[in-house]
Amino acid sequence: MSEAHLIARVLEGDRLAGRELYDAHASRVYRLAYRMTCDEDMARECTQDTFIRAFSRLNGFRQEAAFGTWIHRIAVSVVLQALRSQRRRSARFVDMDEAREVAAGDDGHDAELASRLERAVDELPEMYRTPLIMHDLEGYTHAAIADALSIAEGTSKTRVAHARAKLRDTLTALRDQ
Amino acid sequence: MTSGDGESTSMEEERMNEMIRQTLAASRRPPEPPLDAMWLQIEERVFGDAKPRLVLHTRASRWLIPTLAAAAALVFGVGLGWYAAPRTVVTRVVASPAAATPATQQVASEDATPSSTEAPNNVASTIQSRENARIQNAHSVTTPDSRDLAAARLASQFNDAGGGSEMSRYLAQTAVLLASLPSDRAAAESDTAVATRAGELLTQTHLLLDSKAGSDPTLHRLLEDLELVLAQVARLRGQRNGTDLQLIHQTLTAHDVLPRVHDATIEASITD
Repeated sequence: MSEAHLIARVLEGDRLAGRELYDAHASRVYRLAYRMTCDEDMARECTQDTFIRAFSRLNGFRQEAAFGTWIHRIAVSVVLQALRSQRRRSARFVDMDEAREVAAGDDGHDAELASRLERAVDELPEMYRTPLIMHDLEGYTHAAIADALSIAEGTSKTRVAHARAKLRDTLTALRDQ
Repeated sequence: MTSGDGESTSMEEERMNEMIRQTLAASRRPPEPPLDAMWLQIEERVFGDAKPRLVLHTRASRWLIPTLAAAAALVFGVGLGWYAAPRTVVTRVVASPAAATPATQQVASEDATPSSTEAPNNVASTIQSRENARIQNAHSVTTPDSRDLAAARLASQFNDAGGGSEMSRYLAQTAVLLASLPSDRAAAESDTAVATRAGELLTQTHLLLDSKAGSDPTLHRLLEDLELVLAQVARLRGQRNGTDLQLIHQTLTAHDVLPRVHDATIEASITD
């Protein structure tokens, strides 16, 4: 069944059609939310909010873009809003450091590297961090990022390049120690 | 060397990029998404549910009780706020000599109080004065209800081409007010000015909620949250107890009101 047909059925109140649309996109939305927040609860809340917003605005969805593109645009907005309002960064650092230590076992170097890079990513301004995560970790195209963030495709490329350069500096500094 | 993105990079930089990507991919690896649990929440919110299922999050349950307490207190404030708002509208509109007829002036003088936000202190007299005004109105005004006309006139200000800038101004003023809320320990004397301003903004909120500008679902939800908060702030008149401001701040935090006002201000300024 086409997405357009599913959307029409959702608008008629068909929850099974809603579930079908959800199943098609929820995993990717959740993955993106988790990559951006590093927090299971936040990722879950953001994913729920994304679909609740999308379904409640479905009437206004003109289908000029694919549903997937549209819902990822909403997801990015929801996650950024959540990150801004929930000042949990310090708590997340602690959680992640602990998690990495457990995951890395005795390999202290890998744990330190991951920890420093994570911090460097979190310290990046939002305008650089989001495109980097979307592109390098979740494989979004620059066109999709540009659409989700309402920026030009070239801007997305520039921001990813800038973010990578910052992270390389971190890596170089770590090696020099 | 040029990467696939058109970015000029050396071999070494490419190698480092890949190493960074792999490290981050491993450390930020998402867990398996709880698809069914998330769907239960979405289904209930979007489609409703004949058999309500309570799937409480550990995090949600932490703030649920204080939020419900705040909501209960704020609902009371909103009820009082609704009493106050329409009278302010009438007072303002008939204040213009050109627009006011003797009949409407009479209604306004019967109905007006020094400030709309003072009304919550005396609900009984408010109801009585409303009844008086209604009786006066029935005898002296044969045109459609002057309150409706006044409200419609003000609401139209938000619906015309300049609605975006009206919205921007309203949001900016609201953000300033909320940001300037006194702390728990601040002197209560400053409450009166803040409460008066909140009462004025509450009136604007009601108009915006009923206007075309307020038909956007996201904006509408924000306006509803602002309505709750402003109604509560409008009740601060130097006799608050310690929990009043705490409840307001809790509501602001629980509903992410300030960041949402910030986002809406940007959006409204873009559409100006």
